[in-house]
Amino acid sequence: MTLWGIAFGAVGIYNQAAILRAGGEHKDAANGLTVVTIQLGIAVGAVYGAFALTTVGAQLVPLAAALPTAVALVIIIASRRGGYPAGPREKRR
Amino acid sequence: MKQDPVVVGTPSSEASRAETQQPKKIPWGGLLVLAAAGFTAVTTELLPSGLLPQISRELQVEESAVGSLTAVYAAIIVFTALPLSRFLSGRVPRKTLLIATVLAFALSNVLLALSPTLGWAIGARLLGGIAHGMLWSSMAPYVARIVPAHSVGKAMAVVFSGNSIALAVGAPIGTLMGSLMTWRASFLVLAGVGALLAVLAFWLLPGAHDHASQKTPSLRAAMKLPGVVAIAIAWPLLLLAHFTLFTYVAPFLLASGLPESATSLSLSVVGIASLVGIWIAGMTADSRPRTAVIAAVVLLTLAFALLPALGAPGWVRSG
Repeated sequence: MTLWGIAFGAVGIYNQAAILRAGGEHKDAANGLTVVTIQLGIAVGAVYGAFALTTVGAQLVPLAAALPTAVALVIIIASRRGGYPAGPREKRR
Repeated sequence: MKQDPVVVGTPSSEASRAETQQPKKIPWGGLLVLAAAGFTAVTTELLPSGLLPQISRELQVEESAVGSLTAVYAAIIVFTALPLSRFLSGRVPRKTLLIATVLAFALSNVLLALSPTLGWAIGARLLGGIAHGMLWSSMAPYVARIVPAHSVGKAMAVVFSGNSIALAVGAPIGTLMGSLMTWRASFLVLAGVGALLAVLAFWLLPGAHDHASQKTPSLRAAMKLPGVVAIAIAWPLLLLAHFTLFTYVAPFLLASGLPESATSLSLSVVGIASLVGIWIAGMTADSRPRTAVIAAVVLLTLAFALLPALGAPGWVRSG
């Protein structure tokens, strides 16, 4: 639970910073886009949770939640050049 | 090999302008007001959940119908946030827009507090939802303009802590207020807080320097930029995962053999821990964004994957 909280609190900040960086001179539009997709994410999350609850059972709902985070992880690792570049104090690999 | 910290991912034309116009100091007072506004917004979003039984009794409708007060709020954000922010950006000064947004929140809560029927209440929530979408879509770009370029991450951490605290304590606060006063009074209190914040914002927020040459925001141009679409997909996926479990944490804990009282305790633990995460992110977002975000998402995935095992040792042994 604690790990969940810490990681979740942190990813919000990293992504907010990332979208403003990637948006460049269109950062308003880019940020607006995420405001909308995030609301969709929240809504779909509740529906998906209900689906997981009925199919795999309450005990495995966290496992169902691990799926979308794994997909997000793949996207993040894949977009080193785009959305999630290395920072000033990170060596370029 | 180091990248120039000022121009990370920013096209050079804006970066050079940013260097000359970007302020040197962080306006802490203003950031705290924005954090408080964000807290009020998310608490407004979640408050009906805590007051569900009361509202349903007094307006004489089903609890599931009262649930539409939250659904309507989220739905209107999806439909209005983008067109409105595109329309208003450049037409209205950012500071004025933010203050108007906070006042719209206060008004929405007053209307809600006075609603004689569910229809009226839904109307009030529509106004609140529009304000919510505007607040979140205008806040981050505004913050990026009023702080030095190298402290944007830190500033975001401060401002978005309001969001995170509210996600953790918004619904419990609603329940608590509901036990102390009527639901109408609860919304009036939120409205009062909103009005107070509008005054503080007028006083403390710096005006944002909007370059005259700035292009009108173009969604298509933004989506063509490398990475924007990736973030617009990856970030919501993370929130999707969070709310998958957040919404059904009570049944999960019950199935793991924990008592019902564990639910609010666990949600508080998640909330408090997320503050720690925000604090860590504030220190690392500007210097090591890539390593940090990967580490955080790996930890999040691990936490979700391990929770069923930790929650029910017996199940692990048998399986």
